[in-house]
Amino acid sequence: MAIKTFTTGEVLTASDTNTYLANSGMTYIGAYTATAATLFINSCFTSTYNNYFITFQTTSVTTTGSFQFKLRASGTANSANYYYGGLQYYTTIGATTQQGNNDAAMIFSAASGSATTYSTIQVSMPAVAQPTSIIIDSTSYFSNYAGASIRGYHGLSTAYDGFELTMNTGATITGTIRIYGVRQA
Amino acid sequence: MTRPIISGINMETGEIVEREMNDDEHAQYLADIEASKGMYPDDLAG
Repeated sequence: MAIKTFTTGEVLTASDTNTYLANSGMTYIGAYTATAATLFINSCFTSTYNNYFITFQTTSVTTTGSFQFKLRASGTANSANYYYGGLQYYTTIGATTQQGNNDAAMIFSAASGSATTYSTIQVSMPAVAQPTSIIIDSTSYFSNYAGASIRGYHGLSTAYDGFELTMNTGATITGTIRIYGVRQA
Repeated sequence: MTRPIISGINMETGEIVEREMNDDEHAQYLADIEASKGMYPDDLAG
């Protein structure tokens, strides 16, 4: 529902502008760029939002493998209870299935060398003591690989305040994470 | 022996942390690598 409906010739005031800025669809929470084997964000999930939109862009990895997403609580990652399924896409053979049943992480896009990867991660209800929904879509361009679409949940009824990204081959990642909270009403 | 680096930020305070993995983090790091073996088609294997 619109906050205010403008009519022809009406002046857009500073007050109107500030109201719209304060009530945008998404609120930028922050960003972090680093080169490390584990990139983490703490204290980004709070009671302010139920849903979060995360972008993850990488410019290099030191060893070919797949990215992993894990939730964190008070600075410690949870490495169990990730349930998910999805598709890995290849330019030569189309899609193959991927699944995890009580895995140590949600595994998503593959990455290799200096091929840039782009991922969007939607996380729902992470800061509430109930299972956390996670949807990840990714693209990458190397060899015959094209990307991935993975969705599922973390099954513990635990409240989390952060997350981390790693590679399951232990590679060092150079990348940028940006986090947005989705407006509630 | 040098361990892999873990790097991150606390969004509430702005504090940035960059250090070597501790014992628990390193053990999980090695377990994740072990679990990933054989996951890829040959042409994607590093």
